[in-house]
Amino acid sequence: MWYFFSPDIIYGEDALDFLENITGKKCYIITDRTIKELGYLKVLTDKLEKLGKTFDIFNEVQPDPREELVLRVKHLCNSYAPDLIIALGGGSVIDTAKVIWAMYEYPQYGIDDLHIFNRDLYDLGKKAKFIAIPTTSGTGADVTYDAVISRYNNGVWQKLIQAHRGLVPSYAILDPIFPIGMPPNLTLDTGMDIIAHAIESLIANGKNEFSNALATKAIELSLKYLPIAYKNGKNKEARDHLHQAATMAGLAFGNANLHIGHTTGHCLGAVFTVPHGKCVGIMLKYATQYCLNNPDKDDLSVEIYAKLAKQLGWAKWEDDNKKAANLVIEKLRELYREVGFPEKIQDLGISNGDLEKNLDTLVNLCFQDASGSMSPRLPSKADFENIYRYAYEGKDIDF
Amino acid sequence: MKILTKEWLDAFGKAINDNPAYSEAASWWEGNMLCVIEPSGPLDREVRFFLGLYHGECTGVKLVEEGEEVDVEFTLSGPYDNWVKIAKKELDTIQGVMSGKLRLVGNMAKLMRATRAAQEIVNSLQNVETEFL
Repeated sequence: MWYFFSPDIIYGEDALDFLENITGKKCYIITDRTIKELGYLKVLTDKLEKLGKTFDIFNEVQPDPREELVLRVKHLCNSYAPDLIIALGGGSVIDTAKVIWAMYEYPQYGIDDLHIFNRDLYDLGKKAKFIAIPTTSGTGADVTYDAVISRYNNGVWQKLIQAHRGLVPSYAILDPIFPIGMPPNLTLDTGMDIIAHAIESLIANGKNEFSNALATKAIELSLKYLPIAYKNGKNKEARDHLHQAATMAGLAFGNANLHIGHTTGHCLGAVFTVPHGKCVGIMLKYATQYCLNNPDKDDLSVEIYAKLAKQLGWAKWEDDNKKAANLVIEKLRELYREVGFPEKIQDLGISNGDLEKNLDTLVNLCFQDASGSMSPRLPSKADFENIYRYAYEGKDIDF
Repeated sequence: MKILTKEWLDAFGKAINDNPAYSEAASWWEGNMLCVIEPSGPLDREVRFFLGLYHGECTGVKLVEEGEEVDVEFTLSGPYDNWVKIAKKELDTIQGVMSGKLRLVGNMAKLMRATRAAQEIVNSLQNVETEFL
């Protein structure tokens, strides 16, 4: 038995109008100040007023939401007693709302109770449906089942990854009106996250026919539309398709997992404080090369990436699989150059001395990152070190 | 070696210690584990065994008698047939837990940081000549 979890998805121009079809009159909106300042919150509240729905708003979600904030919102949400919870924002907002939703349904639960083995959580939605409205195109948080919350513990900030299939929102509304205002650099970083989600999920340990179909389409759409949206953010067609690609990639990795591109990217970002999309976008190429070099003859990575290249018309069906699979790397190179994305860690302004000084920490963190175990090829300590060293210099992985 | 015998369990503990990938992945880990094999298929009684795990080493293994208490941080339980699938690598340990084929009790946040280490424990088992029931 395996499974594929997904919200109901409403997409395209005017997708927000679908709110009229969702039962529930009393909405609790979770968002952040930027969304309010950009006028997006008003777009939503105008729509709700027009539909005769009442609402209360919490607009103070911060990036990397902290446990105490979540507990404060839990109290406010419980007092308001909504029958709809709406998250309007990026990954941090949606993650906060997922946790609030679960703790509203089960007030006796704390954050630690929201884990993959808690069977009660399959039953969310009795008190309120949860609608996720992403305003950026990248995280896939609108369709995934995990939420990252920070906790201060023994003098350090710890990121808790609370995950359960039941935390998948009831609805994801993908209206391109929201990401159209994203600045170019954010478009690029989040767009690289989409591509990393899709490419990694194709060979991750939980891969399946459903996730692979969506990952393939997400790769096709994002390679086509990311450069357009980056260069001309007002291009509605590009924004709409990129927004859809982000959700497809979210469904793909949410059901198939990610692997060492994200593992090494997460740790690089944590140690050197670099944006997530930048890190995973850089590490993707090296992680993919490492997996394509897998000496295990039973591993299917080469076949899977070759099939991708052939399906998307980069290679001919009769081409050698290894040659076709390597076109994934070539396509990434082409994209990096077209949009001016950094191809190596050095490009982030990190010195070689700083990398070497932090290598032990990076590798130890890699071994503790859950996505690392989902790789078809499991790196040793020396492999992790060399992946970082090669990625620093921009060398192709030859081991 | 016949599975779930003392001889097999000793070999399992040795295989963990002979696996450098486990030592690297679990260098930070502190927490003993109890594995509970519930009757199913050819197994007609519950079998429990203890794995002492500390800083990348298996510090001890032991078959746990009925009624005997052991000090562990995690307990992993499931029917024999599902354990066999994991031992044969037909089922990933984490996916097994996520899909309810195995149940785990313990600190989940800590466990989620140890998925690679868990995988290497199973990989170690591949080096133990195992005769299934």
